[in-house]
Amino acid sequence: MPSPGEGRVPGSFRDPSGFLFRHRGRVYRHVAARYADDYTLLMESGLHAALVAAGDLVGHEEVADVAAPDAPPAFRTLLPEQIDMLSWPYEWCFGQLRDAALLTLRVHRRALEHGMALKDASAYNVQFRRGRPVLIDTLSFARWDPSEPWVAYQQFCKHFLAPLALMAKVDVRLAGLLRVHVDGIPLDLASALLPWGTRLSPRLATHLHLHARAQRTWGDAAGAGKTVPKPSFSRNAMIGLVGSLEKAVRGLRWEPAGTEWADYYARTSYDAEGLRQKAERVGAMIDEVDPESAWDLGANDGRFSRLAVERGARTVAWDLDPAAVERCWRACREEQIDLLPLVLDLTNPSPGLGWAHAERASLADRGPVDLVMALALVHHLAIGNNVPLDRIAAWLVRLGRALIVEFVPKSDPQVRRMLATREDVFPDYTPQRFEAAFSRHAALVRVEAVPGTERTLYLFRAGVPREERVTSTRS
Amino acid sequence: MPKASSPIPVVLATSMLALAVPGTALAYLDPGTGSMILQGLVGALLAAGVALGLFWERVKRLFTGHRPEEEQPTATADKTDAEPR
Repeated sequence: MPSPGEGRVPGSFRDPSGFLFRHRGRVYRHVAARYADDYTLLMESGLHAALVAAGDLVGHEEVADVAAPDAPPAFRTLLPEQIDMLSWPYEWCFGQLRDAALLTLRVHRRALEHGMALKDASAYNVQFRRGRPVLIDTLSFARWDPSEPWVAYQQFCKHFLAPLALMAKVDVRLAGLLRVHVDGIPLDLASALLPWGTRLSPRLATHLHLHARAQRTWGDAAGAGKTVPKPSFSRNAMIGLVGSLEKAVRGLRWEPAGTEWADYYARTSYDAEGLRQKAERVGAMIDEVDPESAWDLGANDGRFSRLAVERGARTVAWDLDPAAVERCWRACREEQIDLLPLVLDLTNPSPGLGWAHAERASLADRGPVDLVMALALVHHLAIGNNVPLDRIAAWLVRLGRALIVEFVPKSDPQVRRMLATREDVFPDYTPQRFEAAFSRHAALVRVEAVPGTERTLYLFRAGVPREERVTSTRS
Repeated sequence: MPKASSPIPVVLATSMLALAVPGTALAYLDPGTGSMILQGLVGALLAAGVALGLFWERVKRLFTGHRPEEEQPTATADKTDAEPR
């Protein structure tokens, strides 16, 4: 009998060419008999090898001793390179979505050179690995018939071009529409929201506005008894289409500036020495946990997340602010740091989405990780969002087996600023109540004062007996 | 229900193209009839652009003296590097 979490992956059911399943903690891919010809062409044309060598497609090995449960015999069973942390397009910053779009077009172009084409262009087929986007769906390729238009054109525009255009031309927060529309932003909606001036851009006018209009005109043509014209296409038309989409994507830019947190470190309670001291203490606590996986919640530009990366942990830097995440992403890409920055509103974290709530796992369902870092975060949840300390503790121990939490007292300038314009209804927001609340859910392991500030760092372990010895540097 | 008023794309589409339902072998997505027709409409333009680009490359080569690399795939060519065009 399969253990919990074994069996078919819930989000893998649309394409009859195959599906993913879990077996003994690993994800495998069942390749159906109907996909045999395309799989053979993918492997024998050199396309697979070229894409894997370029880092654009996950590699795999064919296995003979594992088979999917409750499925007809597979043509092949694959063990793909495992992706440790799945992220969803509504968690990506502008630059990540843009890079994922360019990857999709690059892969399609490379496929055309080998006589194949992408048969889908879903943003969910892209994940991030070592600071780069990578296509994870080995079954996305089909033999190219140059007389046919691109079957994935609509999906590409809904999953990539529409959200990118809305983020660049209207407001970067419109990325949130991807959370509502899990199969991409409807083109009529994108067309209605985009400024009129985008109709003057030939590429956006064609791929978004005219595209929306064509859908309106022809969407129900067959049902309405209209004669539907068969579109003719050609090799050069496809190459031109890919080039046009590439230029459309490259033409969309967004610079991270002017958002709430963009200059956070320029106006925090820390000077350079204070930051160094804090980093030293956080680093020592990470060493003590020795995590394989870490989530830094409220990571801003990821400077403390890097401490976990440097210690070999697969780390995600989560932040509410798309500008901070964008900055972090650019730095990681440039410096080739294996850190995944993602956008997340902790007061309303990513839920389980799609069919049966199960296609796109929630934040909690992708955990727990070995270590959760919550530095200069708790006051934003407790005072900024009125969440009782006990609930914060209960939530964080669901996400991580160990916690590094910074407590920022009411006397700190940051908290004073937050309370300046509102009534202080937080009598429980004290270090003692904080410690007591967290100690109900996790064992306090270490307490460190941060010199030069009134802030304190705590290390907790969830599920560890409470009597574990507490070391403290507090006087 | 308002419908697109301009008849030009429709006339172009119906005059240029044969009548049939779009479809691709093994395609599991609904490609969207409107999306397929739009590609048909702009495809000729895009193809002309590509052809013009290739022509322009040749003209440039005439003046810069660059010759295109010999593209003679050999039986021993490493498949990893082969990029047939």
